[in-house]
Amino acid sequence: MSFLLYLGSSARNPEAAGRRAGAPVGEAEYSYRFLLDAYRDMLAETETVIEIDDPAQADRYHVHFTALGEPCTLLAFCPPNLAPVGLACPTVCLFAWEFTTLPTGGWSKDPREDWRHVFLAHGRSIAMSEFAAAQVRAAMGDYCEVAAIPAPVYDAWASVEPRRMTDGQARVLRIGAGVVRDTRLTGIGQTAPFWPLRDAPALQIPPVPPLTVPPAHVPDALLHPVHEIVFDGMVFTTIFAPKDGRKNWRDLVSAFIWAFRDTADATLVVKIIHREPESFLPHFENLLFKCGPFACRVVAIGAWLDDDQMRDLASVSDIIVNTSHGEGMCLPLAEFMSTGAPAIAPDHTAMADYITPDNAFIVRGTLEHNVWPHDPQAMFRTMRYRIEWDSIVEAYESAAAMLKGPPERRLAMSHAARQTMHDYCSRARIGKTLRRFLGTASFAETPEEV
Amino acid sequence: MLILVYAPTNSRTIARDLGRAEYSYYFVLKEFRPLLEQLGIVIEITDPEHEVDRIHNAAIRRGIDCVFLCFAPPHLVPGGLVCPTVPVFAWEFDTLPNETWSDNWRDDWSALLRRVGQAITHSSFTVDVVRNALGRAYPIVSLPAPVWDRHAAAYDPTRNSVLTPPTLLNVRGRIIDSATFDLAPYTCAARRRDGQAELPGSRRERALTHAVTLSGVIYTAIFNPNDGRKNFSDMIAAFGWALRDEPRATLVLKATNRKCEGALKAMVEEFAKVQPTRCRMVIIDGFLEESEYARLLEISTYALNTSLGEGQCLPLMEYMSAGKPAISPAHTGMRDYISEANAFVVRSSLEPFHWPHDPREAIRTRRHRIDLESLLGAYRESFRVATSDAASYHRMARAAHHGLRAHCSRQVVLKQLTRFLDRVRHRPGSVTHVSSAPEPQTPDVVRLRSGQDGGRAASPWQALADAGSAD
Repeated sequence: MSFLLYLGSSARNPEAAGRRAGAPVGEAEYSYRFLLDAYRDMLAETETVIEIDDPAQADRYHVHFTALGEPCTLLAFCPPNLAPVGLACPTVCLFAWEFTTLPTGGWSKDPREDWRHVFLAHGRSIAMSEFAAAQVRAAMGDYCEVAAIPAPVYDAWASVEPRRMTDGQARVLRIGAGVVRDTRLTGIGQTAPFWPLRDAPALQIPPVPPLTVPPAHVPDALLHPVHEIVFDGMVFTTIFAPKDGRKNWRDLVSAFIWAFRDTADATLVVKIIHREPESFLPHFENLLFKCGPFACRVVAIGAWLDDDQMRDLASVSDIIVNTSHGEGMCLPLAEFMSTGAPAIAPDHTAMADYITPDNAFIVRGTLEHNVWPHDPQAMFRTMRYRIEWDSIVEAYESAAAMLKGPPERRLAMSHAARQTMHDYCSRARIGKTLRRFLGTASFAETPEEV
Repeated sequence: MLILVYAPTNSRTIARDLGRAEYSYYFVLKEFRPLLEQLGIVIEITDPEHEVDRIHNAAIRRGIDCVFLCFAPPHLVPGGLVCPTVPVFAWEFDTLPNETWSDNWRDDWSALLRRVGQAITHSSFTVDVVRNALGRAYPIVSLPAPVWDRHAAAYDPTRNSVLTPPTLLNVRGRIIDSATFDLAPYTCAARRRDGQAELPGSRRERALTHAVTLSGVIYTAIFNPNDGRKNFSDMIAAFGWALRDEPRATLVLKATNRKCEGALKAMVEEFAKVQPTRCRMVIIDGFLEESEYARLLEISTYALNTSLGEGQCLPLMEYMSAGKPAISPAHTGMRDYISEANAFVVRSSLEPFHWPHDPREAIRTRRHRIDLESLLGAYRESFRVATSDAASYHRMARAAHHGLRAHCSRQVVLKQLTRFLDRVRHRPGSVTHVSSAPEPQTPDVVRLRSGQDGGRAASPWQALADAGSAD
């Protein structure tokens, strides 16, 4: 069987992307790139896999492989409104979606803005979560087969050696070019906010050239670390793109400081995904400033971390934190939980598939009206989750009690996090589900563990 | 007894100050005045720093008690007067300001309240917040504004129909009625394309009287659109979302501020975001004569509040006194009178915030975050009750009317006010340090805490009078 992999993007389809430039369409596009790479690695073990960058190529390949008697399927990694339709080659769209209603468009002539059109045309679809799959089922009934198949994250991360709070090992993170702002060094949070502001000591952020180099070509400079961060005590880590309004970072950070105002051995690591992190840092530090004084530590990392460095970060993280309004899947949660780090997270949207009281401290939320992120009309057509901030504070406090408490509970939660991820997104499991869904009779049934 | 009263806004300045931060203190003073006049001679002060002690000292020489009730937030209350000073203030946050950031030492409310030695507020929530900071013995009492009596007469238990028949309301000013204009220019897309649209109706029209016909299930909220705590965005968007298909549902928003064009536009834009809807929103940006204000109360089905915090919320108390059930949270000031018996209670959680008078915006306290699902449910259920469960509606109306009497009738408030002022007048007017330690040390505070007068021991005040005046 042969697979064509296509990364649909708004860059390729500016007219389809809606007028809100820069607004992520569902899950951020970098996540779709990761998803495509993961599928390529998984499928290439046994099948022919070709990445194409133009849907027009798909039909040519389809003709070619069909003549050889080999079924050919196009997998489009993108939201449905960016997926190719009308091809002779069977097409399946793999998408993430975190709102309560499917977009029905109406703001442009592109029929794909009504996702039902795409699902009908394809007849099959893969959603990253049960939450999204259920919406497709409700909208399409028998007209579209849909499966909830998350990205196969587990295997790559399960091998990370934890260097957690109680492991007694050195916990050092080395980072190359980029900006790191550590409240232990900057002094932000040592006093109450100044007034008038002109009396405040200047908060200078050293200028850093923006990272325009694509990730695959990271220079050797990263081999020579510029920053060395030494961790002690409890390390809570979060990873988000500040431009993504769903991430709700203000709640996450303010609740951390509220919970640990008097706790010196609590650290929040904020890994920022942003092309120009130094443009975001003043907003971030403004919030820290207003929360001061506090004894806990906040380390903001605005630097590119390669896979090894991300694994290093995961190895020293005791808890992975998420307080978002909605998730299509949330790769950071899945990745870090695969290393045995319990989570602080809501159990809504995609996270309902894997967050439980055994592996996480659950953040509460209820629905509020919201806007599809790519809708240029910005009308209230859908809903997302409004988070209860005090439940985040409670979650931090409970997590701290667990980390400092008897080892049995700590080990049980760590094991539960790992086991859940194994069951949810190991390559063996995903591969099996995928093959069953795509009806690939040519796949040999591998006698892997169930 | 002489009762000196002061509010930053008075009857002369109210027209100018309407909508500014301290304006509501004027209305509270207005409600308390008839009660105060039963307890003594009320003198309105315009310059506390200079007038109060002059009058107080003259009164003392003649053996007349004198107290000063200052209807203002503590950072505006004079802290060094000889005359016993009682701040009368509202507060809806869960910590008492206790820091300074400028040369006004009174920004630290705990310092000011300790210095003056007593205070009046309007909810048990605020009493708890103050006592958490200053100790259980601190002399503070919750006296809600006594609004019940003026509005109780409007309660008509014999009225059968819950829905309002079409009724004309006259407004001197502008009426922004979603039924009369196209909301399309107010959407985000239109704003991006064509710029922000002006509100319908010209400036000249605002001097004229307009009429609007209201009917059906009427949800009424009265507030200052510039006051962020009122959270009109949830109020409006959830109304449109929940009652989208109900042409009999009407949201009436009476703006209490005449200078809030930006906020009014935001309100219309919020409603535009949930279109299309069959329900209706009417914003009253103008003046209602007393008879029209009473008519709006009479025809309203429900009183509405979706705020992030309240000191007490006078409009809600007034409407409930008149037998209107509420859609409202039960947090902060409202916890004393909102219940499932008289309201569709809206759940809320907490979020971090700063004290409003703190320019540093230091995160020191918490306010509420409305649970929108709960608000949607409250709108839907209240609509169902109004249209098809008259028995429940009348039960809630009765509960609202009677419940508010126990909370804020003149009789109830007067009794507590009398008792409180009695204690105040028997304390020396000079600085009284109230320790925040559990065990108070001064004899005055012992008497106040125990509530027993122990056989009417001679007060220091009396001793002074007996000794004869200094001059």
